[in-house]
Amino acid sequence: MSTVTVLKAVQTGLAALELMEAVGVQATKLQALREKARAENRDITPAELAELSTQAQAAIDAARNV
Amino acid sequence: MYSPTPANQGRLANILGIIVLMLAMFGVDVTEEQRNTILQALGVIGLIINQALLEWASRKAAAAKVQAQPDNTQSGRALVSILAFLGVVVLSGLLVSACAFTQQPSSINDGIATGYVAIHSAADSIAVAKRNGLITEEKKMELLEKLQQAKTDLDTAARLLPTSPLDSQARLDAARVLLKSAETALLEAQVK
Repeated sequence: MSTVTVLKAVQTGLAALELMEAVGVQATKLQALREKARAENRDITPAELAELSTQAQAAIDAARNV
Repeated sequence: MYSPTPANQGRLANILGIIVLMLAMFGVDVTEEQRNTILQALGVIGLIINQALLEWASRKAAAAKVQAQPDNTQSGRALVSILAFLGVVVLSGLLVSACAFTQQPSSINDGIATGYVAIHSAADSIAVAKRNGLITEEKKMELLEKLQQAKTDLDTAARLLPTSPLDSQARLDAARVLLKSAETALLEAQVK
């Protein structure tokens, strides 16, 4: 196995971990939001939805510029 | 013998959806049917591997604690074992947290919130994939267009949420339709 192959495999592995992290961070945020709503015995509010909408749009815009 | 519950199988199957997304990013075309088959097949295996890894790491860390001696070699081994344990725990935590996406939404608001967070996560993943050269600029823009479409649907659904009991059913029905449309757009962005 050549050094280039190994380096590529390492790079791909790191990218995969980065992808997992991207998913994990957002999933944790959603879980926290759900738990907060549940603790307060209410549904997710329109204000919280608006905040999530803004963050999602910012992420789309940021990805466009990569 | 470890026996995964149906709920855990479902969660892991969805976590493995991320792997399918990565496969898609590597240019492997996966149809919906193939995706489901792969997920079903991998779900139980992945969960058992995950559990085995955790048990292995726990044993390693416990053994390292017992054997740790004041000399550098032993301390180094103990440190590596503990770091390996922490790494596995962090990774498992990430995997488990990813299952937040897979829970059945408890309300329309919850469904919309899940959609927004999934879009955010997908956009971040697309950015990572592009930065690492896993997808082309054209593919990136195509995926982002689908995400944008899903987000527009979710925004409309959020605006339709009932404000009074009189119009609640019609608005909820319309929001549900838009939620479904956003889900379809998100799936298209993930699978293709």
